[in-house]
Amino acid sequence: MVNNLIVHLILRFGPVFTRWGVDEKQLAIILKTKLLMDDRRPLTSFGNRQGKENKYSSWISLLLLAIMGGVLLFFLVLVNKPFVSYTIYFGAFMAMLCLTLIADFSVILLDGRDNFIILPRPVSDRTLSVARIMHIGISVSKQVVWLALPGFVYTAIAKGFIGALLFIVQACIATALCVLLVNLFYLVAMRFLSAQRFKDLVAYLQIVFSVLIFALYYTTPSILGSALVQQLNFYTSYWLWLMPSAWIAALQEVGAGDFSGFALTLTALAFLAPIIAFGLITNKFSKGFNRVLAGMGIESHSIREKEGLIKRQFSWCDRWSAILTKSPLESAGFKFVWRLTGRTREFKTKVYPSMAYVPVYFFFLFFIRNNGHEEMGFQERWQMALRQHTYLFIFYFSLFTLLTVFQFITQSEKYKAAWVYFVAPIRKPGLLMSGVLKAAFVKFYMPFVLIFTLLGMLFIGSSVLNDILLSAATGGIVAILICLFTVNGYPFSQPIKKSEGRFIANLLLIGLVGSIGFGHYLAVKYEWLVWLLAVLFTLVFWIMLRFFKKEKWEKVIFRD
Amino acid sequence: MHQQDPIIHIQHLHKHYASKEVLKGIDLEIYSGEVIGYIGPNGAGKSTTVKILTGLITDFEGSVTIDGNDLRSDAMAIKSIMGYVPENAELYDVLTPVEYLDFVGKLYGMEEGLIIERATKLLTALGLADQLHKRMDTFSKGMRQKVLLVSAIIHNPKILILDEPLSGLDANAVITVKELIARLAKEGKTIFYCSHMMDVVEKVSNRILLINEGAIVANGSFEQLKQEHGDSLEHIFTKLTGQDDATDSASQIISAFE
Repeated sequence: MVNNLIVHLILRFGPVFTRWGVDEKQLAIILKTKLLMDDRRPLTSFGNRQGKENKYSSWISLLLLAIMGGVLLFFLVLVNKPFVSYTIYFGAFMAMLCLTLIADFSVILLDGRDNFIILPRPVSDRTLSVARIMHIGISVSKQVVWLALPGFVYTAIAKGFIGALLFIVQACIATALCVLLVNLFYLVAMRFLSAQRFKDLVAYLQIVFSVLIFALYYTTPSILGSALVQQLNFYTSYWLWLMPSAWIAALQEVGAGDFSGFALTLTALAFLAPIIAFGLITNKFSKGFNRVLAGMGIESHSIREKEGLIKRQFSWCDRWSAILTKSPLESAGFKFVWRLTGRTREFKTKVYPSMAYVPVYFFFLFFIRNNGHEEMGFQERWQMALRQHTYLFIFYFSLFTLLTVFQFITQSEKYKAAWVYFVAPIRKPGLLMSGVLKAAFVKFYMPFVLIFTLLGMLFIGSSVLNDILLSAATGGIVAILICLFTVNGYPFSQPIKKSEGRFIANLLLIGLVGSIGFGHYLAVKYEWLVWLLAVLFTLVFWIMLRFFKKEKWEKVIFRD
Repeated sequence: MHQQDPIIHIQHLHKHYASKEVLKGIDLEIYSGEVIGYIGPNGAGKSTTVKILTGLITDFEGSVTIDGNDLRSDAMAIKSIMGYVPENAELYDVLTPVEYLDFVGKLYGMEEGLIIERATKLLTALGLADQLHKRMDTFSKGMRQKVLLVSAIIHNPKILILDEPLSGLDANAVITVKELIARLAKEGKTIFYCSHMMDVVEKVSNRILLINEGAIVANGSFEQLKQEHGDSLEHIFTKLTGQDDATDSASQIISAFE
């Protein structure tokens, strides 16, 4: 109902659309239909994949947005300077919006159904591209309201009525600009990239963005507190003027009574930018885009010969499989997981960020964290971390990647292909799963162990070896436990869903890792004790693996 | 007529989904080397039968014995002598054909050397020699179908269950596969062929089973069915599945524009 209202509101501007060469009636019906479909099957946003979402969870995600909006307030409160505060605020605001949009837009823009439903009908390129922009705009504005709410309230209190009014205009321009910029980026990118590469690019962008947000979350307070930002002078920092968020920020300055040519120029830019972007999209880039899109379905039949060709030379997958697996079944599980985890987009977007958190956290722990030692330099902090054996923390922290790996290893868009497991005579599913376990362990945990060993040998010396052995053995034990208690399907055999209700099991496992890690921390002064524990844990791991191979996996069932 | 025991023996097979009865007591005997054409309208219970035979559905009533083993107690022994091509060509398409077949073959306990050798030969025979090491997400439906066909026979099964195996294949591939079915049957393999395409069923199968609303309504060779019910398989089909008014529907459609 709300949707119909919005569409009616948009069509108030009917004549304007007609002048652009957009068919008003077609626009209305496309929008209404698409919005109706969205209501029945929500879009992806902030990494949440579609699925049957209940009302409750969508409220939680809105609340989450409002909380993020609250976090953005830091910029307004901590950097209380003209231009700069709103420039940073809207910069972060727009970055966040773009993150959402990059996920949502690919769904709307690359909707394969358009090829069969809209393109064969007499709908012009321009109508369709305007419909797409409106569609994403409406979808995202629902989220924007929540994201902007804390900023709005703050501005209303700090700057009064005019400030609040201007804030609404600012938020609108920021949103429009984000929608248009992401759209522009997509249109351009799709001219140069094939559908597969393009989707990969989107996936990697999502990964980079979520790592960036995580990194910002840990480092922003110290960076904002640093002299660099506090002494930043907007009037002399030319590079800042190039940021669209600076133009938007100028509105507040005009509102506060700064009618200088500088402020007015920037404000004018803020109003002009969306119009220029819109013109570029509808006039220049939308032409032929639908043809590109329509081609995506067809061209895939081996037009690009090279693409998708897998090199048959040396592969780590074959090598490790030969070393680590004995039976064909185990090798099947190993190679399957090794290959699919490297090629499945959904899996990568979920798991790679969680792997990247480890170095980010590592950096934070060693160089940023300042528990009463503000005056310390990087060098001293590093030395202190080594002296206090804080590095042990990272050894165990990296284990949590395995939780994420096993959470998503069962899920796939191609889950229907899993019939093959149930048609095949798998007498010992434990063997298959031990292949899965080994592949996940070697591919997603061993690299950390390797890096820790290298760094440890370099900076600490050979005394770190037993620490690494102990934590790696713990990793093995934990991997087995995670696999036994949180995995309830064969790899890539289940539809993609939102977080699974394995909360208690995860909590217990985190508790276990934490307490072993703490025990290790207490024992670290006694080299012999660490060696003893390391050997003991390795033994336990080995015994557990033997039993793991005998597990019946009766909870694994075929889903049609 | 048949001296030997049936390779597939189904007795009083019932299947319920909630309160709906999908299979209403199916009794069947299928012998080695037979090519069974299994036809019926949508929702008649074709897929359900296939899913029970392949072990995908395990809760059913009645008994199914295949090659002397009971499907409930010896499912593994049965699965290892069976090959299956599913209806909607679902496979892990980020893998290459060779990688996929390596995976499937190993699920059947085969050694890698043998898998690669057979996979290469079979795929080459089906015209995929240049595509052995390409990711299947760029493949057409016909190419995927060929890979699935190879994955169904790579372990040299006694029984082949094919659910619309020709969908998406081009004319040449259809001829190859039809020829293949005949040759496999000659080698003593049993083939259970589900399809909507009457003309193909008519040609490849030596016995036709027509299922409607969960029960088998016709069972015999094409010649036998013709004598009893009518001249073409299409006629027999519409007559026995209660859709005699198919021509009526067409007239109604035309009159809608008047």
